[in-house]
Amino acid sequence: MGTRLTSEEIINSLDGIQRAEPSPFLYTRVHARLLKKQDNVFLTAFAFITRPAFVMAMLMLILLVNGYIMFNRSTFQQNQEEMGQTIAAEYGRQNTINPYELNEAP
Amino acid sequence: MTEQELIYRLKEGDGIAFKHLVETRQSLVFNTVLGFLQSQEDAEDVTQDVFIKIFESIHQFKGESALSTWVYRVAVTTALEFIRRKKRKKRYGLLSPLFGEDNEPTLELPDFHHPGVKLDNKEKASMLFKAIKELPENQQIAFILNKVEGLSYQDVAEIMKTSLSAVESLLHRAKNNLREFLKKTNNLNE
Repeated sequence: MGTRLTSEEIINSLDGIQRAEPSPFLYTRVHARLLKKQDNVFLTAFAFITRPAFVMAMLMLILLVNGYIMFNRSTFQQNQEEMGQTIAAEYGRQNTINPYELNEAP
Repeated sequence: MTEQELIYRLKEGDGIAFKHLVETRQSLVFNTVLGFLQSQEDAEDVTQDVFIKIFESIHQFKGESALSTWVYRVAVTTALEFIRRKKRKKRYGLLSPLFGEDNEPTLELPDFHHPGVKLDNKEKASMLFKAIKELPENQQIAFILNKVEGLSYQDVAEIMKTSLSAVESLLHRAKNNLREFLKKTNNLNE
């Protein structure tokens, strides 16, 4: 029957631990991965444009542009209506003018 | 090559300097990452990730600390990110039966045996590594850097960007938590 361990023995079990070594040719593998990454420019660009922060920024931009256009459209429509009324008013006045008078020199 | 020269050449994208960095720091990175991941296969992959990250972000290194201190920080951060990603995948994996995917039984990972531990201590170390996984992140970092990497409290404080007293406190709490966990899960003589 073996002796039971204490927690101190377990906590101290790493005393004198030696360093583990990675597999050989680590640099070769890292270098190969870096070269592969550089070749994948398209993938990198795709990865960037699909990032949530970029997508959110684009959506905000679209909403802002839409909002600006809609605001300007309503202002434009208002101006158009006013212009229409002005033209209509002018037209109404001009109906009382003798058309021959239009051809007279000022 | 002095450290200043190495940093300068790394920032210039010098391949020879980068090779020198990998060859002189690979043991540091691998052992740190292995302490967190407790899997040689994962540690091999993440070690490569660490050096790629270093290559890509060396321009962010301001030289306020030693290069090795910064390398340790990148190694710790990358290892923890890997663990969090793995936990997220595991959480998603629990949902996959709902979607009618293959219901293969998940494999129980075997106990971790650190290759650098003496034969006499292998079983004890295996129990300890299991308990380390249950520690809060900061306590894990302090314990692994001090006990597995053999760094001084001062070095650990610099890597964690905290004070010496904070590291002492973290290690004290880590050991208490480890004792509690080990007592609960093992038939100890206490």
